Amino acid sequence: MIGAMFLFLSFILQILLWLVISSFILPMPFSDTGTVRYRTLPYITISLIILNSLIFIVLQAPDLYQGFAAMEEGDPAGYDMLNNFVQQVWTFGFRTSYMREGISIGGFTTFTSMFMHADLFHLLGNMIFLWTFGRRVEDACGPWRFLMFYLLAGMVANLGSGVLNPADFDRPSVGASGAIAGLMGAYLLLFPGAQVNCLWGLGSIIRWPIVVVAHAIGSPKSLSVAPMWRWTVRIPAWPFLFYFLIRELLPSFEVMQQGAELSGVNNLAHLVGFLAALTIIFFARKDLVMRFFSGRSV
Amino acid sequence: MNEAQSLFREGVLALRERKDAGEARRLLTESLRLDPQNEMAWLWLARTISDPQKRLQCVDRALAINPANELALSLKRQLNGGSASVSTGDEKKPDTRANRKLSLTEEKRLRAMLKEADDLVEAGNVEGAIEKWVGVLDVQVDHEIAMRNAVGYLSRLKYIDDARELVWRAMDAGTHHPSIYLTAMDIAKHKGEFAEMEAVGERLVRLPEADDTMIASIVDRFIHQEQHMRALEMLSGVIEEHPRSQKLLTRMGDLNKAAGRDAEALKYYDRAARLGTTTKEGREADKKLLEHVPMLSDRERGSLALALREAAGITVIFIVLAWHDAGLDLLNLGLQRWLGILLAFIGGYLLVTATSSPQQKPLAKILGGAVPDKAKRSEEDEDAEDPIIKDSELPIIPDGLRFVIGIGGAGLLVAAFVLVFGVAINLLMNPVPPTDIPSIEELLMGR
Repeated sequence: MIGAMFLFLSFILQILLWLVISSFILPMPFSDTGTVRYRTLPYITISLIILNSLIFIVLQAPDLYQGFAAMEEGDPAGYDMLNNFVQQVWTFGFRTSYMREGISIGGFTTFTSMFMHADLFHLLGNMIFLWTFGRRVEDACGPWRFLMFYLLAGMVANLGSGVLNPADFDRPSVGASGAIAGLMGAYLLLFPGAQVNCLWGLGSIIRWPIVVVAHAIGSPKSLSVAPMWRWTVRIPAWPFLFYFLIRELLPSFEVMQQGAELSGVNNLAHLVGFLAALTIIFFARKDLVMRFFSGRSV
Repeated sequence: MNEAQSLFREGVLALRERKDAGEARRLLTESLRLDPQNEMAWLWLARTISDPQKRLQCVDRALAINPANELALSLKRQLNGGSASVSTGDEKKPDTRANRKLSLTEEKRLRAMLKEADDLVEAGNVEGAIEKWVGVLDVQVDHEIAMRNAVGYLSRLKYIDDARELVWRAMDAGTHHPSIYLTAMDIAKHKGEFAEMEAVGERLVRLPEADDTMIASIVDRFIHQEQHMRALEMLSGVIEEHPRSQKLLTRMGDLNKAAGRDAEALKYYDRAARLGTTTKEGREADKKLLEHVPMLSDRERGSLALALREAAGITVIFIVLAWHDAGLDLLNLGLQRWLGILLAFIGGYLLVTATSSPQQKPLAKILGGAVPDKAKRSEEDEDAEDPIIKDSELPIIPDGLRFVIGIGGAGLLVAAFVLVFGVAINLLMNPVPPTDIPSIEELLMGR
């Protein structure tokens, strides 16, 4: 019991440490500041977060983490568990050969891969981004059209990473990130002026002297009454999204030109997913589309 | 509000909003039958009559009730003087002295008189100067400089009635100078004659020279007098004549919002924003709309293109599915998958028609749709997110037919899915386990 508690606490600490480290230099958006205009509850975004989390926690995490724990203790059962995990990922992850040669469940892996993750941090990062950018995109589309767009972006991301990579290399690809990249692209298209709340250690440190000066001179008014220190920073979404796009662009071009072997992050899927955002125009609400094309706020 | 007042109000609205003199006459006559002591009703009735003798009778009835009614007195002056009318301004024959181009000799003469007046003011002889300005006004009844100075000094000397007479003389002559009407409003306000102020304001806002800013400022004066409803009524009429004025539409939205009529306010903000957001007013209206649930207009509800757009979105999904199923080879989808894609488009369109676009033009009408009963809709849609759903004038496909279309569309989509994703469905039923799965040891060793 104490061992389990210790394990759980160390896990939480790991997550917090990961959050602090990963959000110190670069901002990590965790929510957007805009108000939703049609519905207050993003059913599908929440459902997708729950579904992704459940699939990982119930079907993947036990084999992965118990397997590693057992393996470290020298228990051979750990290898079996980890082999189970590998089998799941290789069977239900997205591989082009499954489509080309009719293996596993073929085209259905494009869906199954979208709901699987490689580890907890992979899941956590994706779900934070899904919440940040999905909520308002869902509001802009309505729940069912949003779900269709999400699945389409995920499918296009998988398809693109398979078709555009000339390398004869076929490791399985898992994760919701292709679909979420689509949401990020759609968010940029629909809400270019939006702001996001970020965890950003460096940003908080940079902000502090600015606010001190603002308090001293009483200007600008918004900063002169703001708290001196904030753990979160509000920044415009577009620089962050452009940074994301550029960050994915170069490695993706490298993959497309040289057929590099994908390992770790599938940048090409992210890039293609991001570009799939253009199809949001098919799925956004009617009035929103009309407002979008006439230059009004959506 | 009693029945007489209600009829009076409707009569005024009929004349002002709908320009329906016949209906206005009927309502006002009915109102006067119930309350013959309503002097304003007699004056409004006069506006609905073209026969000068009968008009005069109406004005006399108003004066019999209130001999000090300035508006009635002014009307009587005009009628006796032979000018056609001041009622709507539309039928009026302007006095030849107003709005006319002066001859060179007259211009010279007026300039000289104005110079003399200035000299007299400098010499401290204000009365003399006023005489000169009045002299100018005798030549050109709405000379702006002479009017401004004469009225200004008369007011300072407390000769408000004289100032008022000069102004009304110009207005009766049909001047188009908005500043003169504004002065008349100021004088009426100063004298506490709010009915007169309203009447002048109404004439002013209908002048071709009255621009958006001026009309908005007139409306503000009414609001300042806490006459929100009058301001609303006036602006509503003016907007019909200035349907593309973003400033007035936004102002109308503001007034409705202040009156607690949010749905109406949204309609006006929406109209203003639809005219474009490149102007300050457009952006303001757009910003105000952001605070509310967006509106779906009949144009969007009835759009076939927007419905087809949604069907196209569904079709794109099926194309991507087919692409996967064809071994990631888009050029070899095969006839079956293309047929599936076609079915997906048709099925998607039917599903969209049944669910999100049941008011498409002309489909809804062809399929026997009718405009739903407003009373019923307002009950049903009390909690609707769309604030103008009650105002939709488009026919909607009957519920039963929508259900059938929806089921048909869904059926076609299922068939399309089977056609485009056939290989994957077969593999789902009979999976082929991959044979190249590495073991964890191999992965850890970096295979």
